[in-house]
Amino acid sequence: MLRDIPTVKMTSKSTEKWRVPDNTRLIWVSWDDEFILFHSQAGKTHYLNQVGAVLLQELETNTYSVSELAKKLEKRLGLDISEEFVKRIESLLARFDHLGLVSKHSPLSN
Amino acid sequence: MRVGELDLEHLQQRLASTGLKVSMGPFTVSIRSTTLSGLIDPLRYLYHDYVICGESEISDYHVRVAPPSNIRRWIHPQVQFLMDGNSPFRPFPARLAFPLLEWGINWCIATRAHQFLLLHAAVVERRGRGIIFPAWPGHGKTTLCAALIHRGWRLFSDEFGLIRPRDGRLIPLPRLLPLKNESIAVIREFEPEAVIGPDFTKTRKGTVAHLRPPTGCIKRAGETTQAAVIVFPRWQSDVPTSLEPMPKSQAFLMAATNAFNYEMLGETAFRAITELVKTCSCYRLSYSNLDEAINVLEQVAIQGNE
Repeated sequence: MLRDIPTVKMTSKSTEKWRVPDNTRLIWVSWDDEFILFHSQAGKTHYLNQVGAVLLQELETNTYSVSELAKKLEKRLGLDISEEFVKRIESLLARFDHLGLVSKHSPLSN
Repeated sequence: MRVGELDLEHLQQRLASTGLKVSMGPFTVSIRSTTLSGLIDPLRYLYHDYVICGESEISDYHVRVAPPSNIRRWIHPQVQFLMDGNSPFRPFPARLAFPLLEWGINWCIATRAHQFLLLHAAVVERRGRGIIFPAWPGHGKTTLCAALIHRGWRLFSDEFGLIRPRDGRLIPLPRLLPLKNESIAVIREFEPEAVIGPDFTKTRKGTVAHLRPPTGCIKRAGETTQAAVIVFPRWQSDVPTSLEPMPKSQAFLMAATNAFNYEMLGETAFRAITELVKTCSCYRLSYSNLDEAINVLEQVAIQGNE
């Protein structure tokens, strides 16, 4: 396990910023460590584990890069962050992007 | 007035003219048909306890069962189901007019009654508690429901768990129970007094026979209740009876995927199922013996009242 985030090779992916689009309304319900999410705009329901849910909840409140998200998850869930875990975050973001739950955030859009 | 109080001549007259308006839970269904003995005899017998609505009552669904206007009426007679004059299905053999009517009315409800969240579930009430049995075809929902209502449980519905989104109340819809194949003999043996119509063989679902709900269930069709328990039943041959608690997130997903109109209702359905799962105990039931299953479910009903 690598705990040191800066040792993760910085790619263009890791510097990209992500967030839940402003016009997206997510409704949450959770039992234990399992989360169910209703995406109002798409009318779709998603089942998430804790990692997916925390990641999305962070992106509802702010804009983050992959490495920033990794640090958030490390802090909130006490996870050891490895290169493999960072790849998992990237993969999750790609999936969420496909579902319309998150989008890449361009600083120019501010 | 109830259907059973109408003599045959008047019943035929109504079916052939303005329609027989029957109260089915929250719905009024206007049924029209030409004189088809394969329809009228079972209808008269099985709808015996259902209330006939007044002429001025507005019907939710106008349905008609009649021969198609083609040459087949002379060779292999057929019937078709029409709703508002349109036929959503291919014609059936004329001998299946009654099951076609029943499936047709269910189709109307499943595709039109979006003022309710429609779970594909049997619903019964025991000791004032609503118990929902969402299930997939072949999991023994109807057989279990038929057995329960002949042991004092009140039938809400065998096919549709009707939930009113604004307050989460369960709405009774005590329609006939379509027993299929082996379950016909199982229920005849389980409750010899059960009122079961004729066997309709070679339907798309095998042999079907309709069970009339006990009179009290039909009379109390206006009394709603609150859901307290969700049980996902599964009949399997030669398994011991077991009732196990189920994670709520799993119960949510299974209830949502099992609903007829979850996607159509969107957020309304999400909120309704969330409240339902939050307030209910959720279980998974495996059984092969009806009496054992009923005993286990009695315990669930008792526990909630303690």
